[in-house]
Amino acid sequence: MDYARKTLIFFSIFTGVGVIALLAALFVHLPDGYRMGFISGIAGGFICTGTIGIIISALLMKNPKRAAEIELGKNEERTQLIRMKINSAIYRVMLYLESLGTLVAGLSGYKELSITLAALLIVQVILYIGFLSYYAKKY
Amino acid sequence: MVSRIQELRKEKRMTQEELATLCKVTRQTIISLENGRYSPSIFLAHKIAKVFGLSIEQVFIFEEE
Repeated sequence: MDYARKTLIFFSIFTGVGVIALLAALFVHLPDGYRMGFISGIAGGFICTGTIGIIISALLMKNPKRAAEIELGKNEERTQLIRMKINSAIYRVMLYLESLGTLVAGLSGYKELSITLAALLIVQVILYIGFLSYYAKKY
Repeated sequence: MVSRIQELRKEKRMTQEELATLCKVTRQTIISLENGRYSPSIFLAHKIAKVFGLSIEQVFIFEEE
C-alpha cells in the first residue's frame, strides 16, 4: 500500500473518532460539564486534524512523485538515526525534569503531584529496562 | 572516515539530487555524507559504491585513529 493511501486511511479513522466524540458530546449525558468541555475538545481536535490530514492525503494521491519523496524522507536511514537521537534526548531530559519536579513538588508540600511524578518516573525506568533487555536479546 | 563521494560525483558530472535518487536517499543525506557529518551504514555505502562502479574501500577511506 502506498504512502498517500496509508495516511488517508489513518486520517479517516482519526476523523471518525472525532465524529464519534462529537455525537457523544451532543447526545450522551455526562456529569460535571464533561459534555461541553472534555469531549467537545476531543471532537474538535480530532475532526480538524483529521480533515486537514484527509485533504493533504488526497492531494498526495494526485501527486505520487511527491508522496514517494515524503515517504523516502521519513524512512531513510539518516532520518531514522536522527529520530532515534531525538527520542533518546527527550527521554533523558524528561527524566531529569521529572526527577526535579518530584523533589520540588515534594518539598513544596504538593504530595499528590510529587507521587504522580514519582510514579511516572518508575514506569519510565521499568519500560527502559524492559526495552533494553528486549533489544539486547534481539541484536 | 573520509569519503570521496563529492570528487567521484563531479567526475561523473552527476548532481546531488541524481545521486540521491539512485541511492534512494534524500539530497540532504548526500550533503551530510559529502561534508563528513554522517557515516553511512554498510548498505548505503554499498549502494553508493555500486553507483560509481567501485568498491566500498575505494569510495570511503577508513583512517585508523
